[in-house]
Amino acid sequence: MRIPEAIEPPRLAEWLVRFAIARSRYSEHLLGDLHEGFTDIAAQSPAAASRWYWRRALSITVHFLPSRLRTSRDPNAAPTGDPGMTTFLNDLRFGFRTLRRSPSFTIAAIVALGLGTGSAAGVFSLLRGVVLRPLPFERPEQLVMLWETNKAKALEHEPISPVNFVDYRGLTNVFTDVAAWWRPQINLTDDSGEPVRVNAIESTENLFSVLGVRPYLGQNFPIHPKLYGRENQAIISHRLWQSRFNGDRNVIGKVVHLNAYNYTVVGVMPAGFSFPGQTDLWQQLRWDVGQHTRYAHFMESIARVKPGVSPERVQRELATLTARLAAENKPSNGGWSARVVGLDREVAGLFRPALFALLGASALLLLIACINVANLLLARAVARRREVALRAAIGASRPRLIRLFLTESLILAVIGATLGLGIAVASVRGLLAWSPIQIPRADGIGVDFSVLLFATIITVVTAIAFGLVPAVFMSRAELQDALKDGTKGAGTRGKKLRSGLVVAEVALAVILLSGAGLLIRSVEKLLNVNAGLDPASSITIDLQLPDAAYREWERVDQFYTSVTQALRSSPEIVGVGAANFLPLEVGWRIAYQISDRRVAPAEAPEAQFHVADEGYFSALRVPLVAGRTFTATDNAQSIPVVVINEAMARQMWPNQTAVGRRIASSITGIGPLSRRLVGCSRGPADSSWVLPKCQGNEFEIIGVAKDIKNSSLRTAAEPAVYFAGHQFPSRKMHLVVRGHGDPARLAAIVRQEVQRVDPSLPLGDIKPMDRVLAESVDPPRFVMLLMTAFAALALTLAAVGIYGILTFMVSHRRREIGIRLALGAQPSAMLRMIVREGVGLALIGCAIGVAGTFVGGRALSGFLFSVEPWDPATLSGVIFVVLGVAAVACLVPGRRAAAEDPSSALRVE
Amino acid sequence: MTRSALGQFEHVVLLAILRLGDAAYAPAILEEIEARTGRPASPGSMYVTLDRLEEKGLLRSKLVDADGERAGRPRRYVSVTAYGLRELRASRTALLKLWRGLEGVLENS
Repeated sequence: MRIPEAIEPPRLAEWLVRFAIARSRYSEHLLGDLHEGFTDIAAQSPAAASRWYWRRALSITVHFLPSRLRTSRDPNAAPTGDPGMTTFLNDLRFGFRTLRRSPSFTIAAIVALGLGTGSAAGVFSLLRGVVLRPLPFERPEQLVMLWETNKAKALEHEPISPVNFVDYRGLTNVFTDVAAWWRPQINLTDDSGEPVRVNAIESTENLFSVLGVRPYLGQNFPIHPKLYGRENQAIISHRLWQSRFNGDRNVIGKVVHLNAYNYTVVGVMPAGFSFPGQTDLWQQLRWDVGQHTRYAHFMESIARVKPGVSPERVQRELATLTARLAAENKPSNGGWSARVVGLDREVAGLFRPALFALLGASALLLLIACINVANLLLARAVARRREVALRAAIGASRPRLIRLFLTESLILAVIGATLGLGIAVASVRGLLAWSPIQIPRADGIGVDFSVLLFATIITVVTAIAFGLVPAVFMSRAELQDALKDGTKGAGTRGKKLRSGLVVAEVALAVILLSGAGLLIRSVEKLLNVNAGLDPASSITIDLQLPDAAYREWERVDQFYTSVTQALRSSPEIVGVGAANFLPLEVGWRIAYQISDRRVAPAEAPEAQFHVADEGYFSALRVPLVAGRTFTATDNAQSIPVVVINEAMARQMWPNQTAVGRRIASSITGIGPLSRRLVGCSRGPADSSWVLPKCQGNEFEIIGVAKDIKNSSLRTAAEPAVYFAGHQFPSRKMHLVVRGHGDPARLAAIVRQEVQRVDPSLPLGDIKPMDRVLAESVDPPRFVMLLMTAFAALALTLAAVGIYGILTFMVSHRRREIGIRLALGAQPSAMLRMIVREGVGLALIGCAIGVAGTFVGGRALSGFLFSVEPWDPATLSGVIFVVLGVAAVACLVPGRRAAAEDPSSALRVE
Repeated sequence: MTRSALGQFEHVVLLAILRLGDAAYAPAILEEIEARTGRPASPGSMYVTLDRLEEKGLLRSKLVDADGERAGRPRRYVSVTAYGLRELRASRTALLKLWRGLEGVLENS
């Protein structure tokens, strides 16, 4: 679901202006002017309004800032001789000069810090945009989604049934109000243009009052006592208003045709409002939820919890109520209960734990970057011992020295964080623009004040984290020794400290790498899960026939028959089928009876019911296990037949043949969507909610198909029954088209044929079949992508760390190496010695890292699929990679040691 | 002319305020300047100029309470003071004096 914000001026720009004009008497008036201009332009285009605001803000800042900075210094501040300030400025100047003198060190440190802060700030901006930012509704923390659950059936996120909704709404001691809706597929036509498919919900009249949102134009639905009415009113989104009606204010009162029924537009919602999900049109509910059924679970529901009522209390009340309902209505409600989920959690979904896990990962990366810089600083500390000793000798106190070094660290941190923010902005933009992954609330992701604040805080914290250890270490340098000579005996203490840091770096990198490795394996396994079909070179297009134009169910059947037949004759197409649910979509879960083994209604087995035509199984390359699939002659005149899946055959007729058996189902239709034609007398043709009377309820099983996954890739297929398309036509169908050529070409052929049969019918979603399967893997893939990037950076930084310490070691031990070589040691032995040193450190790091993985892996367990957090293959792969990279990092310093010229090495002081 | 010469932009802003009469507040002034001169004025320097002109006593501000579209923030209407008018007049006279006899230049270019 994606919920954009109500339109507000850009916070950062506003903050900038506020800062610049803080001393002005007229600051509020000026901000008011900006707000007014922004609101005017935003009515046309929110993006243009933002640009306008930024231009104004920058112009104002540029003109006001100089005087602001002048005044901020003089009024009551201490006179210019403030010693603290002067010292700081001096330190700053000195720090800059020192850093400029060693550019390679400075660049390395800044890049490491930039990557560290950049990844943390980037993840934080995602977290802020998707999870932490309040939803644009009144008191959003009071809003919860209501779902029905069934423990026995392992269902915990089911839509609710309409009659139950009325009972939930009756819990007035915990809920202020409750609204519900369902999602019919709507074709919008009017006199002005092409028919379009719009995302629509048919909702109880109180939805907007529950959310606390008012229309931008026009008014809300009237609220009748039973929350439905026959006025046929519709409210449209700002987006639809702009794109379809060119922002014409006269749209209010206009009549549009929704599935060929007349509706009056009574309101336009504010820009950015599209709840739930990407809804563009809200229809007034026109039937009585209380008169529907408790059996059908198809409505989504949102409730506003009364102020001061705890979630536990809501849950308790719901438990009491559902227990009573289950006792009173055993067949329909037995086993069912309900639960609430905070709206913010619901909207962010899996991205909430995903982003928190990533924030943890980026913190580890930042830690590695800090260690790296601390290491670089320590290396420099050795080189600067003389300088430090000299400063101490002429009277610098220890705190004074620490302060000096911390100032240098702060300079590094600030420059690094600035670079990091740039990296964060660029990579988050890139991620949103290029990745196929749909991130909820993506349009609100960006760098705002809180992200800047976060970046500032981590900058200061990192400066202290990486600066303090070297600062303390340096300020302790033994005066006498240092003044006497520069290099010799430069502290085994320093080396030990640095080795420790390298070990820590490797350990952290191992944790990140294992996380990435586990996720890569999970995603790979998920993508390789056999969904039961062959998704290659096929696409799916969904179609929805409007009720009013396709009143007679024979016409519905004729339409799909002629479209699929025409497509089958196209040379570029090798398979065409249609079904009312796509793979991974859950069909209608309905109870049925086996004819020769009838049981009490409450014990009746349940299966998913789908509608499929004769081409569906072959178009998806789903093999039949037994019997036959549908043919064109399985129609309203022939005997009622079904195909079942293997899971059902195995469950009901283990080791027996299922073909030829009969099942009974009293299902005669699904709302206005679908109707059973076989074995029934005709109901009144025009009333979509009156179901026909059907005498015979029995269906013969003619075939058993291999399982197609019908709830998720992670779980086994549920038992499923397929009705024949000609016997149980559905107005909504997904065409499945397999053929040669790219998806766009196939889609063009389908469009052409559909337009030929019915020029007024818009095409719905068009997707390659493999995308249908891949979408469900998006959240783990998202975590995997970022985690892998972090792990790669971590490994690079760790390698640089190893390289750094070994280089230092080689130059420090030149004398020893020279002596050894002069005494006849082989150069290769020197190389081995250095590599041993480096790989040894890496090994210790690996051991610690593996232990850390046992802890860290648990944070990822929600994203793992058939991989244990301590998967030995992954861990050994990671160790192998880390040791390999460590060995490579040893090579350069090792070769230098081996190539040492003994005579010159011995001449070192 | 000698004591407190009006800058060119100050001159422009004061004239725009006079043209707008009661409706002179910052966004309107910016629009008026752009409409009359054909060139947009920089909002930042306009706000700075308003403050400076008020400091010099050439204009005064009237504060009006908020209405809906401004997130509850008040409006600042400005008008030219008598002193401001005197300064404008002096500035105009000085400019006209300088122009006298140069009309030919205008026609030829």
